[in-house]
Amino acid sequence: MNRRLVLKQLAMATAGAMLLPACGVDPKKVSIALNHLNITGDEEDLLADIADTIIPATNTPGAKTVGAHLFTLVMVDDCLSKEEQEKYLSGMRSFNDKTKELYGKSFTKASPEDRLQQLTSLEKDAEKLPEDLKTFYSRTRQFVVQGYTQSQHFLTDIKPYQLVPGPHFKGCIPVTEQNPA
Amino acid sequence: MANLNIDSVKERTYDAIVIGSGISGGWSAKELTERGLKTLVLERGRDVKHNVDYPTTNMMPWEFKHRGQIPQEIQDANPVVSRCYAFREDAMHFFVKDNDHPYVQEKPFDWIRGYQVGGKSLLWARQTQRWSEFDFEGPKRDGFAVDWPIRYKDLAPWYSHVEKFAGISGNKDGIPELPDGEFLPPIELTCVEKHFKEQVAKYYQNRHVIMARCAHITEPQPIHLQQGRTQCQHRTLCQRGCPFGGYFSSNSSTLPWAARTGKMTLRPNSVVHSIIYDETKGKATGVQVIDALTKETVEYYAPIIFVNAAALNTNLILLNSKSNRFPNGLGNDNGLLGKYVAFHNYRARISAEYDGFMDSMTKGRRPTGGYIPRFRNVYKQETDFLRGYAAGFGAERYNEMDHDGLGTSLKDKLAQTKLGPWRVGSHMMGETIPKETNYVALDPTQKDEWGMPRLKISIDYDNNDEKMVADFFEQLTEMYTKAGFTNIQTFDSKQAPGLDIHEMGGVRMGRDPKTSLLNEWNQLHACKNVFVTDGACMTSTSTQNPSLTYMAFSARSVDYAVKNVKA
Repeated sequence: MNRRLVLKQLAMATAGAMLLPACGVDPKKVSIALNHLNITGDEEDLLADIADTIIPATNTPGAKTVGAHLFTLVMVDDCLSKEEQEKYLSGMRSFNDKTKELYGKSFTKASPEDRLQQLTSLEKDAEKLPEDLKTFYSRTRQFVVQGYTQSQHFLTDIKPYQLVPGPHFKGCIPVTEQNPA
Repeated sequence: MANLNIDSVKERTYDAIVIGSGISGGWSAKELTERGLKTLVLERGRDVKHNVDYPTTNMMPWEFKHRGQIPQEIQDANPVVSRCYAFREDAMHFFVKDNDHPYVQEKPFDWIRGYQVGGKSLLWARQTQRWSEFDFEGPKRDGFAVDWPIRYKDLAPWYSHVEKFAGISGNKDGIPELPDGEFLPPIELTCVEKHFKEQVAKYYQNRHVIMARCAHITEPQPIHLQQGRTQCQHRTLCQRGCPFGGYFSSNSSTLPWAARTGKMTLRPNSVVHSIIYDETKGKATGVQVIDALTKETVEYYAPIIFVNAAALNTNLILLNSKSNRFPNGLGNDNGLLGKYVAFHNYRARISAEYDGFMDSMTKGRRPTGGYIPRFRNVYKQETDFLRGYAAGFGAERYNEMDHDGLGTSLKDKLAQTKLGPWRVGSHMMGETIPKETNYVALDPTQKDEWGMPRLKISIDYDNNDEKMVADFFEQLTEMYTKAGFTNIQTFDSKQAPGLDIHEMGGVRMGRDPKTSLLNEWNQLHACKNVFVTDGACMTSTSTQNPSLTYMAFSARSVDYAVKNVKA
């Protein structure tokens, strides 16, 4: 390998590192294109873990499998005001520290059972949480549930959506005739 | 060269010109071409062909990046149109964005527009209630605006004419204040709507709850199949454009029908600057058009001109049609052009729940709902405000999703939706009184990208409207209570005028050229070969959704024009 090439590669690596968020050397990048937010791969993983805790994979796919964490990122990126986005990001970035402080172990490092316990406690204590953490968690929960229930999987396999239901509206039928869910 | 010029003028000469391709322009085009007139239809927006240009019509919910929601940046840039209920991710391409076509709001007015072939007929709520004698006699009886130059009997055959072709579903309810029409089978009321209907009939005289009449084909007739339309499939995705032609729009119905005669030339991207008036001939000879894309000016000529640009834009074109004879706008000898604009008051809503019929439910989706015809001040004046309101009414029961819990318990709940309570709702559609102080005018200095003056809008509610909102809440609360509804909640949105998308008037009809612009045939009193048959012609607003009446006016006026206006 000649010296010139080594220098060039080194320069490119340095330039690349400068574009990364302030939190240091993190080669992992977010997996989807976003318009406004600067998100790392680790942060995406955190959202995926939260999504899978809110709606886990069982014998059917969970929120992460259907991409509800990515939908959450898209909605935060495009559909929240700038102020709320800032709160959301700050809440997200303090999430692991705060869960460690409250529950002894950061969310990321906790077991699946402990993660569920942590989120259950968070929801119970929602009023006591800092504003940014509250925003982060409530918005994440909202978009994860929306992303899951409006996913192709859910609207095909769980509650099939009919694009063309046909002219069969009935204004009054006995509840017993309802199709089982 | 001279010959070339003559040829060019000949090429740009038609038997009739229709300005606008929305719900009324489509009808003018159909009726003119059916009578053999070579007709030029001008549309300021782009072309939207039935089916071909409905990009979202077959998309599944998950294919929308934001699941229907409009991104924050677009909302921030377009505060007016963002307030419209139908401005969503699946239909946003059919709405005018605020910044593309700015106007001047002297008072807050949410002007919702659809600049494309078909106009707002793609987006409308498809409600088609006839006017009655009580509506046409209103201004005279109650002493406001001017007397309508026509009565119900003049329009009735034309209502029938347009209903048969458009396809209107409904019941024959036998209510004098909401005349029956040519109906296809109705869509059903729900258990609780029927219950309310019975209770209202029991406690009140002359109050009715009915299934709304709406422009959905519930049983296609040969005339609908000939249009290439078929039965409504209850997708309730109408605003995307309907691949079945299940609801009426210009795009699915009147325009392709007109095209098939071989007599129609449709020219999209044509901003009408003005109507050309010839002083020696004493009539209009054509229109001046600005090509929306090239910004070049072209003139087109015809002995008959129909102005169907949508209420406020029709005012704009006429106000901008200045000549020596008409320095203040075409036909505007009395200075009333642009004045006496009115709308429908849609501010008030009332919701409730009902805990009866818990063993019953509805099934499927429904593109319409119930309707309460106007019951206030119909037979005589009985309140301290003029006129009254109609109301939309619905009571439905949904499978509701419980979002509580976390983990597998949440996941199970989301999969096992359960039936919620019967949810009841009603919204007011109030008649507003046209006033000289509610007007539109040309802004003296500001122009748009095409050099057209911007429209200045100055329209507001008045005390009559406030009293009507209070009465709606009071009366509906009483009716709800008698029907046993609980958890009754009233809501006044305080929304600005305009969001009702029922703006009307400014070029009103009347008997006297001194106090009105149009005669009983929708002809300009002072320029008889120009006809206005869209919302601009309305002398008063009544309470009914107005589109059906514009359709009937268009068909009636074309019939008159073809028989009576000589080339």
